[in-house]
Amino acid sequence: MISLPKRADERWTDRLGMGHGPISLEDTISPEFFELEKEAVFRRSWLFIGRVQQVPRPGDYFTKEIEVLKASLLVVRDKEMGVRVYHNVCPHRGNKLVWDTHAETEQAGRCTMFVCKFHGLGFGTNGDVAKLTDPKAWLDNQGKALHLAEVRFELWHGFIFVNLERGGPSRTLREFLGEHFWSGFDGFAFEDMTERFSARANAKANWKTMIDGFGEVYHAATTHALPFPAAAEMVSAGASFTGDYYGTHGQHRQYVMAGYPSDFYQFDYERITQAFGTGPRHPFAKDYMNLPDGANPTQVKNWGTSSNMFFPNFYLQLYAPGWIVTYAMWPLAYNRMRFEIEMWMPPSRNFSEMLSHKSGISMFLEAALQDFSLLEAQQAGLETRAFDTYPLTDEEVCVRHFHQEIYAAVDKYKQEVAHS
Amino acid sequence: MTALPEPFSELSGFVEKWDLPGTNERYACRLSSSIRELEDFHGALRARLPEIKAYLDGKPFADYTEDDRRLARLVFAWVPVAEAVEVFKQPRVPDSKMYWDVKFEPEV
Repeated sequence: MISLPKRADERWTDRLGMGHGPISLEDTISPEFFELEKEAVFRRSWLFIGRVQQVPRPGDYFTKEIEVLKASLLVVRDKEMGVRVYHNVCPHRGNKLVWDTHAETEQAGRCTMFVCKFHGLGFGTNGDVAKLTDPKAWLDNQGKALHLAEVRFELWHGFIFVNLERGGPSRTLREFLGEHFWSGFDGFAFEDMTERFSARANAKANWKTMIDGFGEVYHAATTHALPFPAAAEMVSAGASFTGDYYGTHGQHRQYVMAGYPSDFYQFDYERITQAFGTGPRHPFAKDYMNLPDGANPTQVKNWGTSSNMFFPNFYLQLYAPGWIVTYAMWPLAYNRMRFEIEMWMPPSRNFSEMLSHKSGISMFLEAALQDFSLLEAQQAGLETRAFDTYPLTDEEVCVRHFHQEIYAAVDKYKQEVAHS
Repeated sequence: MTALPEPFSELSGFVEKWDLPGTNERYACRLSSSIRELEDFHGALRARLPEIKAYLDGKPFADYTEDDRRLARLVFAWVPVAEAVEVFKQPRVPDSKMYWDVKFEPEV
């Protein structure tokens, strides 16, 4: 782990031991590469699918579609308050268990039993069969033995990760995340973050384009010049709008950036609603500004955001004054993706606080919409194959690291397949 | 119903259009409005916003009447309107063809 500030004459790219060469764009435009990625990247990683705060009460459940691995998962809080993850499939004739109208649409709700739409078999939150239709017709009591198929999952600060490797996980979640992340976030009160905002969108673009979009900060001065005139003005004046820390940790990476003072506003509506483009400004009931070392390795003063990019497709971003965002970029095809944003903060105690939260989220989503709206144009541009590679600046060191890890995972998989 | 708490009854003319249940409907309404309509709503509500905040902060959410909730929803609809007027100078975020499908958000 590298945790000292960078010297003024030093490059992040050199410091983190990476080359300066251009990146092949094959991993973003090739259907053949995408086929390899399914097994090499998604099958062999721990995948973030949600937070335990999405199922706070017994019987609360949600379904999660992982199209890239042809998986449908059912996450439920059981009667003993444990979290369970099952395949969302009836063990009788293989019908999808929880769905409504469109089999591919995710569901959420609360119940005591999941009843299959095919033959009416019911399953309790513990996965056991709870209701058989025509019990006497079952041969050798096979009906009573039915149980939902369990999915391997582990929790980290309430974040639910699943592993769909054949034959079981080759690494524990702790080994996968590494010590920097596994223990480095201890002390941040993730459990306080229970007020939920959630948004979805699909784009005709490779899933990695959105990961790259959030992999650096200096696009803000251009992409977000309207909502962040302060950044645009700074760059016009010849200064750099840059991250204050970049680090790589195994397959994962992070950056930290200082924020504007809490009384700095650019627009009238921001001041009256106590919000900024990066979220609410109304103070929370508790102080969350002292981040643990894992989230702010060089203890950047007045941190504004700590962005943690977990391989392959999960971002956990902490924002001042102490709220969290998760991004998940799910591939649907080599050139199509679903993007999920979840924003969580301590619950609003009064109207002004809720207004601050909603105003901060409103502009946060509009800025994210600016990022998202670029993707299809980027995919279309890359697919022209006008260029085979693209160059990256020192500020894009996280983008470089991500693609390096993708290519490394696919190469490793190809070698394994060749040797087996 | 278009009633608002009495001190803010002058804003009741905006209720029919802007009393909407959530962000998806609020953003869609913004997109289907002219910038002139947005500016009118923006200015009228902004003039009373400090008093609205003080009024609604004066009681816990559990004690809100339906009129109070309607007033709160009007302010929540005002936020994306203010962003269009003050930041983007047009109803749509430039170069965006879609908007998010917002699945969860807190409401009063």
